[in-house]
Amino acid sequence: MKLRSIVSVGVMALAAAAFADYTDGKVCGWMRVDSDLAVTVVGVPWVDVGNPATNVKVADLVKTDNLTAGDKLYVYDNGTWLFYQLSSGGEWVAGTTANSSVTPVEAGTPETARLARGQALYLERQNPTEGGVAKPFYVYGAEGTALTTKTLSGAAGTKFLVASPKAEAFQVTTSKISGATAKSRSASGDQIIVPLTGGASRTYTLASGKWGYVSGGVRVKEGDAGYLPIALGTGFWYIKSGAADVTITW
Amino acid sequence: MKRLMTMLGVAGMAVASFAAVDDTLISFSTSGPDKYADGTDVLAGEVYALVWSADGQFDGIKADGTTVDPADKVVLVSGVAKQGANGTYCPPLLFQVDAALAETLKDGQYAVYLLDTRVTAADGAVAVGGVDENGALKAVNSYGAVSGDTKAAAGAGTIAKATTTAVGGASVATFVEVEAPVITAIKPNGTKITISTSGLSPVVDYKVVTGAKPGEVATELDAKADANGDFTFEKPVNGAFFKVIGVRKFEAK
Repeated sequence: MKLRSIVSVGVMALAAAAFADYTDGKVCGWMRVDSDLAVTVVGVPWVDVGNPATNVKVADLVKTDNLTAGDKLYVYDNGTWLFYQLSSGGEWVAGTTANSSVTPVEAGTPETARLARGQALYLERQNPTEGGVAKPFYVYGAEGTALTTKTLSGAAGTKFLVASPKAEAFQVTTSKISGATAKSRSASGDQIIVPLTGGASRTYTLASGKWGYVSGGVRVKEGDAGYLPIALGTGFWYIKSGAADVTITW
Repeated sequence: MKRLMTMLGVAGMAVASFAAVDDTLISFSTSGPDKYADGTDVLAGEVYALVWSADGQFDGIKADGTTVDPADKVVLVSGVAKQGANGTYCPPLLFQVDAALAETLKDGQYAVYLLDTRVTAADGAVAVGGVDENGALKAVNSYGAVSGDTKAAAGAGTIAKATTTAVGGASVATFVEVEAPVITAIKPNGTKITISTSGLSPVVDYKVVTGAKPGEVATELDAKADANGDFTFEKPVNGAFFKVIGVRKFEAK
């Protein structure tokens, strides 16, 4: 699906201006995300505008329109949360993370730190609604080279925060995910955890050859009527319980 | 020790979400100016601490950086104070409490404190003591809670936000308790005398005073404590009684 078709009508004029600057045939624009969550997992669907060979900058991905000074981005990087805060001047400022290591970790400057397609991050907003209605935010970038798969490598227990780079819902099925460890009496199995409204979550596990989740006390599995995908643009946690690589096909 | 209210300024605490998946993240910053108890701006690199208490009453920190109440905890520290146009402030800081630890702390309350970890060198130069190579605090003179208007408990898998006071700056208000030093031995050695002591605090400057009578011990001697807490000085002609007196290195204004 071309990015043009998902650009909000309300910003078509700006999107058109962005297109006018482009001469290499790449599509760019920005996508409206309607969410009333104070903390939203944001997917990274695109690459850097003007330099499609590189990943999008932290400074560019989430536009500051509709955001409030003090709003924050959290990027999970191999066990450490990197952190950016929106200044009163409307710019993302890199923060410092104090964790169990002796040396604090500095987030890369927003103009140089990059986010890969298929990655996900948290956006924390102080004002996610206005008048009781969800305030949208905007994700920005350029269409990049097709990213069809993502490999998750790491020991059992490794966690990944990911999101489909495609502008469509992600179907959690065995045809889309290979190498996963199934749940059994002796193994907890891989988990996919999706954040939902109100602090709830949906957890998918692999059992008896099918992915599924429990809803209302009943296991709903792939192929069942009403089996829910992961919504467009929504990030999720993938937790490995085995050491073998897991491959997600978007 | 006066029990201190634990106030985690968490205005607009975010909906419980999950960090990786169950780390606890607490963000914090000030707009400055952040001040020591003597009214001076905190030094660049000064330390902010994330503390925790099981009962919501954090009882304070000792000079060695441990907690007054053993059940309380100094969870994380970070020396990030920065000099800005409006004095010294805390830039955006994120405390990441790892999942396993966060799980054990999930039923308590967190708070953010500004610490005064200043030390003086032999030449009198003042610097931030901060932490040692193992991440432990070297010395704490005093501390202050950075409070907000909302108390909240942060549990495992939570993103929370700590805010500053309304004036925008943090301040240090409470001095660590200092025990009285104890003279454990007096040893004459030729023309010199060595007084051995225990209980010396790293946040206090000590001196030896002497006098001919117990009630007249006031003359200061030229003596400094060595690493063992021993003071060695010339045997005073008229002195027969000694006392060790301590003065906080960094007093309130």
